[in-house]
Parts: sequence; structure tokens; C-alpha cells
Amino acid sequence: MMDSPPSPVEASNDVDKAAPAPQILDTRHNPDPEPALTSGPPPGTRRCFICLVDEPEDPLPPDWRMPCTCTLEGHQECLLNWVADLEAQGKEIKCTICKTPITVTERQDIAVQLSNYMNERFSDWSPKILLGFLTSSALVSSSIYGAKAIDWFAGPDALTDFLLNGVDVAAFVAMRQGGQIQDRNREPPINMVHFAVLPLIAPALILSRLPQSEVILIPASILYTKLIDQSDEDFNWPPTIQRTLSLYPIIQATYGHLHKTLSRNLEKRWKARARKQLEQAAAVAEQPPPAATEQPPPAAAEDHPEPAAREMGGLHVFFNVQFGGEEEVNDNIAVANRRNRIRDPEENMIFKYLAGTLVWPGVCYGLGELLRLALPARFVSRPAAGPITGILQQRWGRSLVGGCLFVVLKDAFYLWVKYRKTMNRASRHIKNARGLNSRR
Amino acid sequence: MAGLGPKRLGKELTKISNSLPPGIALVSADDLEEWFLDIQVLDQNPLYAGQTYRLKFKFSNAYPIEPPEVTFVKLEDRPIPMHPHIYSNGIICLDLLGTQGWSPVQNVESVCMSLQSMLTGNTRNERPPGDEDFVRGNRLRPRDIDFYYHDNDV
Repeated sequence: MMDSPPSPVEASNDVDKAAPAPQILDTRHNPDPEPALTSGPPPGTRRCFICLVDEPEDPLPPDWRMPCTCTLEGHQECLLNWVADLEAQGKEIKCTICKTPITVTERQDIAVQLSNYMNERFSDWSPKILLGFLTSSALVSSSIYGAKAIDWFAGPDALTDFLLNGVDVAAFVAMRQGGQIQDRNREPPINMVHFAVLPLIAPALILSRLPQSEVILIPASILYTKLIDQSDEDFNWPPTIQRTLSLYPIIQATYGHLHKTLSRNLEKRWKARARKQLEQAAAVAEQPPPAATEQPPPAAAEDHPEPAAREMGGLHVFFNVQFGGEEEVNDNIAVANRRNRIRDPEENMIFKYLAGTLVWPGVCYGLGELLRLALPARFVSRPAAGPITGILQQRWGRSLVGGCLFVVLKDAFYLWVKYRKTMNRASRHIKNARGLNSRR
Repeated sequence: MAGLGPKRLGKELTKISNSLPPGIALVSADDLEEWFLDIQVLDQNPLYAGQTYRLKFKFSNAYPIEPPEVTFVKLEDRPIPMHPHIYSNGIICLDLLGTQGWSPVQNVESVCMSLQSMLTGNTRNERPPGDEDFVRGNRLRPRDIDFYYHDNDV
């Protein structure tokens, strides 16, 4: 640095190089023989680098300090002033010339040390405390959501059963109030495992809608069936809720793949048809009367996909428990976007996706209720006597079937929409501006 | 310690009244708050050759703990030098003059020399980006402006 002329880079961007004035003076090859201000104190004196006062070297004033091995020196008071300013700005206390840290000592004081120690500790802890708060609030809200989801899906009684090992709570409370139970500390037997499961419901729902989720979910459900579900091995009708839900991932994956294959094939066929229509339209347009271009696609073509989609839905309507279908649709839409630019780019996909997943139990319940209202009472209400004979006679069953129905209908609708879009492309044209038309 | 600034400034003033490096001249220092100095670029940089620029130093009581406020002043025969770090209202973007880059080892003379060399090395005949907006909109004191020291090629 001493040999090269200074450039504004050094002056403006690099304190280290620009800071010590004597160096700049040297590099400018100052022809002035007179000693500059910063060239050093007169012989036999030392200069405070802050107030620039020269002090006699022999003896140095009692408050003279040399905090650094380099030339930095000055009055204690000046230096302390400077240090206080550095501290106020939160800067490190180091030599401005050579950047060596400067040590400031003060009287040992238990109160100050304690306070420093506590401060340090607390700044270590505070992120952990905050993280703990966030985690626990996430846990609590996710638990509440889990309980609410069960409540929606299977009804409040099922929720109580799930959490309290099937004890009749109302009777229990009544008994306690009547004083029939002496031991007041006895609580209803809470199923701790089920309580621990509550916060996992929301993540599991989200997971189940991810593409390829079956890679995790199918082994998990098989594990559950083998290890935890101790009910008898025979398949009874109607199935228990546990049994049904453990079959769920397999059914979901099957449906997802079927839907994917089907919609891909259909789309391919539709695109071919749309291309043909375009070609036809172009051929017609070459004829003198250009009337055909404004016509929508032939009505006959519109009727085709709906039966196809319905057929697909009908095939699976009673077995499908799936969240995966929509993903496929969205995936395909994304592909279509890129290729054909049919749709506007999907915005906030992740939020829609999460929100959709979380309201899912509510949607299932709603559709289940619709089923209850729509179907004959024989199917959807418990027999007055005897065992339950159908899956729809319980709330969870109605929700399940309702949810499946919803997914299938929704998938069918999206397919239908996609069909319409593909077909409508043939009828696209640019509209002429009105002024131009009138001039013609 | 309010007396630090005046004491140090008195020292500096004594010194620069006697001698200054070439191209730097003291114009006036009527009190210990506001000084004016002229600087010239000594080599033959075509951007600045033959020109003299007027600098205004404003000192707070905490000088030299705090940096002085240094700006170019426009007069009839004293233009504002053209430089990508100098706004047309005379405000200088030099980290040496901000609270981050300042240190008490600096002084009026060293600041003048830094500015001299900042001009000497410049080849770009331009103002900082956004100069017009800045000059129109800025109401901050120079030392409160957070300059963004980004272009390392100037």
C-alpha cells in the first residue's frame, strides 16, 4: 500500500487502508519539507491521538495510556471517551491503526459481574425460550385441530370415545356429583396414546396429500394393522373405523394412479381432437364464406368426456378414500400451462393446498350430512334394534364416503373443465378493434 | 467531556494555520464550529485540472469522537467536483466521514488529503446514481445518511 498511489477505492471503501493519515501523506510523496500535523510530535514529547496535545516524555503524565503495541497512545480520559462512544455504537473496541483489540479493565464488582453473567446467559436462552413457545403453541393448536377434525369427521361421541377409552363420561360425571364415588381424585381414564396422536393428525393429512405419499403411508398402515390393531383378523361387514382407515392409503394410492393414467389418456385424445378441429377450421376459413371460424366446437363433442369421467367416478365411488387425486389434476394443469398456456399460472399454490387439506374433515362431514339427507333413512340411520348393518349408518362412514364422493366429483369436474378448455382453443380468435371494422 | 472538541480543534487550527500539504488551503476558521478549506487536485486529471473546490467542515462538540460534517460548497468560482460519490448538492459519500468509518486518528488535514486522493483517482465524469432524486428529496444531515458503499470499482 505504501508504494501504490491511493485510489478512491481505498479512500471510500476501505477504512483499514484509508484510516491512518500519515500513510496517505507518504504515498502522495509530499514534497513539502515541513512536518505535517500528523507526522508526529516534537522530539521528547508524546501526542494524544485524540486531543492532539503533546505531553513531555519525561515524565509522562500519570494518566498516560498506551493500550496497544503500536503507536496508539493518549490520555486516559480521552481514550475512555472514545471507548464509551464505540460501546454506545456497539462496535468492537480495537486499535484504529492496527485493529488489535484494546482491553478495558474496571474494578472487580460482584454486582456488575453478576449482571453481565445473567445477561449473557439470558441471551443464550432467549432463542430457546422463544422456540419453545413457538413449538408448544404449534403443538397445542395442532392438537386442537386434531380433536376438531375427529369431531367433524366422526362426531363428538367418537371423539370422547377416542380420548377417554370409551367411558360414558356423562354417567361418570353424574355419579361423581351424586357422591357415589368416594375417591374424588379419580379421573376418567384418559387414553394417553390417543392424546399423543392428536397433534399428528394435521401433519398426517398434509403428508397424505403430497405426491408419492403412499411410499410412507402404505408401510405405516400395514405396520399399524399388524402391530396395534388387535381386533380379530376376519373381515367383518361393516368394517371398523380402524380397519377402514388402515386400508385408506392403499385405496388412495390406487385411485391416484388410476386417475392419473385416465386423465393423461383422455387429455391426449382431446388434444388430438382439438388439433383436428383447428385444422378443419383453417380449411373452412380458406373457403370464401368465413363463417365457420366463429362457431363453437360441435355440440356432439361436448358430451363425450362427461360419461367417461362419470364412469371413472362410479367405478370407485364406494371404495375410494383419497386425497391424492387433486394433486394429479394440479400437476397436469401445470404441465398444460407450460405447454399450452391455457391457464394463468397458479399463485399461492402452497397456501391453497394447506388450507384445502385442513378444511378437508369439514368437507367430508358436509358431504356426509348431504348423503344422510339425500339417501333413504334405511341406509343412513342406525337400526332401532340389532347391530349396525351398513357403513353409512355411522357418522364416520358417511363422512368417509362423502369425502370420497367429493374427491371423485371434483376430479371429474376438473377433467371436464380441462376438456372444455382444450376444445375451446379451436374457437379462439383475436377480436378486431371496433374503429377499424367501421372504417372498412 | 464537552471540552474535548475545542481543545483538539485549537491544536489542529494552530497546526494548519502554519502549514498544510500542497493543494490544501485554509480559507476561514472564525470559530471552532465551522471551517472552510480549499482543495485542488495536483496532478493532471482532466476532470479536475485547474479547479479549486471549497470544503465546509462542521464540528460537533464531540469531535473528534464523532466525525465532522464535511461537504463541498458551491460558489461562483468553486464548483462541486464531478465524482460518482459526490452529489451535486455537495454531499460526499465517503465512509471515512460516516460514523462507521470515522476514527479519532483522522483530522481535518487527513480528511482533506483523502478527498484529494479520492478525486485524483477518479476517471468517471458522473454523479452518483439517483443524484437528482437525492438532491431533491434529502432532508437528512450527511452523517445520518446510510450510504450504501457498494460500487467497488470507483
